Formats: sequence, C-alpha cells, structure tokens
Amino acid sequence: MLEGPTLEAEYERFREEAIDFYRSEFRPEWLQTEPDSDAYRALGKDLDNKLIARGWYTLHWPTKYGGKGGDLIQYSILREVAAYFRAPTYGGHGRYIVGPALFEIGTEEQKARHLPRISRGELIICLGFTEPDAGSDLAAMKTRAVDEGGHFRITGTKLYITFGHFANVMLLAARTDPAAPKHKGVSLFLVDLSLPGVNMKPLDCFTGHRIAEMHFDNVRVPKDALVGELNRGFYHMTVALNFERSGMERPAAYLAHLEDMAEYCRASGLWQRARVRQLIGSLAAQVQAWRMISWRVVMLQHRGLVPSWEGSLAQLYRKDINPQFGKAHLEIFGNAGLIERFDPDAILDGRSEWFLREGFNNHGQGGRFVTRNVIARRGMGLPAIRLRDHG
Amino acid sequence: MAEQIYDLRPLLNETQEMLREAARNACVELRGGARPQKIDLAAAWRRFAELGWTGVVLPEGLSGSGGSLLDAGVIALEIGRGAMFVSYPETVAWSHALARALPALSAAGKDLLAEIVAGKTGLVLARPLDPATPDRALTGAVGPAAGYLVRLVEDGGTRLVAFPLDALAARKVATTRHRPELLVTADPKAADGITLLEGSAAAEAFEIAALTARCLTCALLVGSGRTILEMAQEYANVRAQFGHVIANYQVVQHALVDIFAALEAAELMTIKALDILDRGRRDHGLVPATIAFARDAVWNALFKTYDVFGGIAFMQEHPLGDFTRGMTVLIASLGTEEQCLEAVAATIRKGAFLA
Repeated sequence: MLEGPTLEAEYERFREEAIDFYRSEFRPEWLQTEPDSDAYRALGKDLDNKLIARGWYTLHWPTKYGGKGGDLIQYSILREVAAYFRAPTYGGHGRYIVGPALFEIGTEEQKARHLPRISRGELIICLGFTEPDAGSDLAAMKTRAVDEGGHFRITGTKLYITFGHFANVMLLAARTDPAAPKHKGVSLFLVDLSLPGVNMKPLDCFTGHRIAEMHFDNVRVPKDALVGELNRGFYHMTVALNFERSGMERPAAYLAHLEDMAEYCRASGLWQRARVRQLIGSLAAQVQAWRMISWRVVMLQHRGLVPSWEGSLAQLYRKDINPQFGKAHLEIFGNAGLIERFDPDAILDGRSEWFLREGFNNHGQGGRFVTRNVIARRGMGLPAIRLRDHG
Repeated sequence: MAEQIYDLRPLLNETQEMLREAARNACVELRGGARPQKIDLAAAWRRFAELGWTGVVLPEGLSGSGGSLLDAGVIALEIGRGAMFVSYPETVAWSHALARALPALSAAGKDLLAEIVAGKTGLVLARPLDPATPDRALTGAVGPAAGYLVRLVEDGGTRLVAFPLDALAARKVATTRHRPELLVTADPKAADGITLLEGSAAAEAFEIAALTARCLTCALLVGSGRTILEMAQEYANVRAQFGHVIANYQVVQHALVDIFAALEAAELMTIKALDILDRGRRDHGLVPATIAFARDAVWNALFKTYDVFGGIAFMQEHPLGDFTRGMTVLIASLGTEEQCLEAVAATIRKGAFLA
C-alpha cells in the first residue's frame, strides 16, 4: 500500500507541512532550557496546546477518541520532525504508549473514558513497572493487588518512575496471583495517583532529569481499573506496551545535534582536524543506522504486525550509540565541553555538557546486557541463559 | 525532491520479496553447499545472465530486465549469501551509469552493454594502490569470461575508456592470497581502449558508477556476513565447552547479537541507499553513511565470527578463510575508514536532515 506514488507524495507534503509548523513555532529557548526543568515543561505545555488545537497531538488516533484519523507513518513523520527541532513537550506516556495500548487491550468504557483526556493533554500517565528488587528481572516484582470483591487493594513500591513526580495516573503492574509462576499472575491497572495511600518521593538524576519513587500503601482501586486480562499483565507489557518504547524520533534529535556540532566546529576551526571530522562522521553513520532500525519498527506496526525483538534492537542502538555520543563531546571539545548551561562560555548553550552526562543514561527499559539477551532469544532463537542457583 | 524515507523499501514490496526468494534459491543451487573457493564462478555468471541479472538495471530496449538498483541490491545480497565473490556490483554499477548516459554513449559502448546482458563480459573499476600514484591500481574481473577496466582518461579532454583486462594482464599480476587474479595496472595507453563517453557525461558516469558500485558491494558483503553469522550460530549450538554448548554462554550470545544487530541495520541502509541512488540523489547523507557503516559491520562480523569459532576457523580447510579472503577484497574496495568517514562528514551541514 506504500508503493504508489500518490501516497509517497502525500507523506512528503505532510512532512513539509510539519517542517513549516515547527519552523514558525521555533524558539531559541527550546535549545537553551534545561530538559525536564519547570521552564522546559512550560514551553512544552504551550507547544502541546498548539498541537492539540491542530489535531496533531494524537494525530493517528480515531476522531471519536480525539485523534485526527491520520496513520502511523504521518504520526512518525511528525515525531521525527519535532525531534529534529528539539521541540519540547510536557511529558507523559499517554499518547505514545498507554493510549495505543488501550486500543489493543482496553475495554470500550476505558477507551471512552481515558483516550479523549489523553488527547487533550489532561491525563498525564507514568508507567509503574520497576521496583527496588525488580529491575532487569521485572518478573520478580512484589507489588500486590488483592481482589477484595468490590475493589483491588494495592501495596508495594515502584522505583525510578519517569514523569512520576507530576503524573496524575500510573499504569501499574502488580502481582494478582502469587501462587502462579513469576511471569504469570501479574496484572495491569490504571491507578489514579490522587487516591489515599499513594505517596511520591522525587528523585533527581545525574542528567538533570527528575524521576520518582512511588509508594502504594493499601490503595483501594476500583475493579474497572484493571487493564487487559487478569494475570496476563506480563504478556501485555512485552507485547502491547513494548514496541512503542523504541523512541523512534530520537535519531533525528541526535542528527540535529551532530549538524550543530559540525557547524560549531567549522566556525571555530576544529573542523580542520581530521579526527574531529571522522568522529562526527562515524557517529552520523551510526545514528543513520539507528534511524533505519527505528523506522522498521514503525513500518511493521503500520502493516498491522507486532514488533518484538525489532523494538529491542532499536533500544540497543540507542544504548550503544549514547555512550560514544557523550564521549565524543569530551574528545572534540575537551575542557570546554565541561562548561554547563547558563554559563556564557558553554558550548552550544550547554547541550554539549548535557550530552556528555546523557551518555551514561543507558539503563532504562533494561540495560544493554538485558537488551542483548532479549534479542538473542527472540530475534535469533538462541537458548535461554540458564543460571545456577547460588549456594 | 525530499528524501522519501517513508515508503521504507527496506521492507521490500511483494515483487522484490519474490525476487529475493528466487535469487536465494538460485544461489543455493549454484553454490551446491561448496566452500566459496570451490564454486564455479564462471558457470554462476552464465546462470546470472540466463536469469536476467547481469542486465537487471538496463532498459528492456537494450535487452535488459528494466529493473532498479534496488532490485540489483536484492540480487547482490543473495549472491553474497551464496558466498560468490564476483564482480557483479561493479558490472551492474557501470551498466547503470552508462544506461543513464545512453544518448551520449558510443556505439562500442552499446555493444559492450549487449555483451554484459549476454553474460559475456564484466566491467570493473580501478582501485588505486595509493593516492600519490593513481596510475597504479588493483583491478580484476571475477565471474565473466572477459572483463574491461573502465576509467577516466584526461588527454586534452575527458574520456571514459574501457580497457580489456586481457591486454592489461601482461603487465603484472599482484601476489595476494585474497584474490589471485588481481592485477596491478600501470596507466594504460588510451589508444588501447574503447571510448565510451566524452566530456561531462564521462565524468558524471564515472561518479555514478563509483558510488553505485560501493553501495552494491555493501549489499554483497552484507549477504556474505549473514552467511558467516549463520555458520557461527550453528557452530555455537553444537560446540560444547565447560559442559555446555557455547551458545548457552552470555558472552557468546552477545557477540552473535552484535553481529546480527549491525548486519540488520547495514542491510536496511544498503537497500535504502540504493533506492536513494535510483532517485538520482547522490548527495544524500545516507549514502556515504551506509558505506561507512556497512564496511565496519562486515569487518566486525568477520572478526567476531573468528572469536566464536576459535582455532578451528584458522585452519586452511575451514571455509571461513575463503569468506575472509573474498570479503576483505570487497571491504578494501569501499575505501579506507578515513575516506569513508570523511565522505560522511562532508554531508553534515545545518538543515541537511530536512533537505
């Protein structure tokens, strides 16, 4: 369906429209503001509202749920162009992850209740999967959800929660059948974070990001908060929720930054050094590879297929490129690359120093080792790693 | 015209998938399970011609198949999977470049295209030994019964000239374990060759052929990389050490994943780069990025495959050595790492992504 010249031209026209939009909206503050700061988030809210007004915030959703009826290709084009301009957004996992997952596994009532609010930017959703003793081994989670007839009672702790410090809803995974094998007996719930018994402790990260630790102390959630099938939560997490986590737009942001670096180096004379040119060239080649891998995930989804290891491969590219990308700033700019944002001597408004720190941010959704394990099993059919019991 | 990544032909359309399947089956049959150095490449080339592959990018008016560079890339991938290190990329690249300049092509040039379609000859590029002495170059045709070296000649004007390799063979055959028939050429006399094109058309055709050949070479290399990965994976599943097959060990799995991850991207990039070249976009940043990335990917695939096999692969009898020889020649033909990365860097300018 994509081979016809008409559709290709349509996509090109849409891409031009998106570029025009972001060019006209662009503000230098987008590049100068510390990511995840209150000021950045305010810029993001402002831009989100403009996208909502155009129907672009959830462009690829059906109109009855607040979308514009576009397709995933268009939406991905939009995401990529936005990323290239480093456009801010308020945040939340609603429009990229939870909303699309609700289309797959939500009830009609849940879709009608939540999706329009996500599309208006009212519902800010975080994901509650990781726990203090359940990181890479997510199935080891201990948070319990006990069926008490009219409601579920949830008790446990969720850790390293992105957007947790300002979200109003969490998609939470909890054990509902403790007797079942650990990959079974887990269910998903959309939990209102204003309920009694929910406590949030903000955590500040090395990169300047803020995340959260969330405590659930006998929180009573209604029965209709259950998302998907009871005790099938782990399956839902690996299928319906996994593929949207590839971050398909990120390579465009990295390529934009490489363009900035190259221009800075040309202007400063650093470009005369072969090592500098080749380092930037090498990174660009790798980011282009990452971009192609990410687009394949989109194409599979567009064709109605469910990516599995392909999404993990996109994550692996990010996690393998990121450390090199960060280190390149050290190698190219040296000491000057350490000067932080807000200092007039900071390179590229401090984005250089920020990328240096961001190079260490490679553990989300499973670290580099775990991601390779997933690809080995699901992508290559290699045997599951068998570990001996300790003691 | 903008880039049009969004049709993403890396996920091939139905016709291309059929072509790929047919090419895979044909190459499996041609190889017959033989190790690369035992394959009858002359017979394989004749079969390529019967299947319409040698003239795949030539228009039907020239008895070609009227296909695209992307189609040729699909075929090159499978030729590589079949471990046939032939001069297919260069021959197809030249026929593509000459066909684009058809109105200006000499009558002798048109005859040469007919010979390519018939599988009688191949066209190859010179690979300079070093930048300081461009007249000394490695070259050689593998597969076709006869071959021509095509190069630019500056003698008062610019001409694109094809020199019969037979005539050059008298000059010197280089000593190399990688491809015995590689020749070292001195700058041949223009009078010995056939003029194909003149003036700016000659220069443009040379540029198109050089870039296209490198992208098609990436396809062939990625295909052969796939095969050595399969070999390594099969071996890891049967080779036992410390009480388990080595495929059970995380470090082995991660080495295999790294090869797999790099080849997946290199394949997608290669197909996309050929699609971009089909659209006449030689200035696009993805093209040099593909060459740089694929070069690195297949080199690492070779290197890490040896890690998985251990000492056995270093034995003369082991087929991995044949792959190493064949692949190394092709990797060298892509240019040095420095040249590849400089080509990428030259495309990185503000706004290039949006162009």
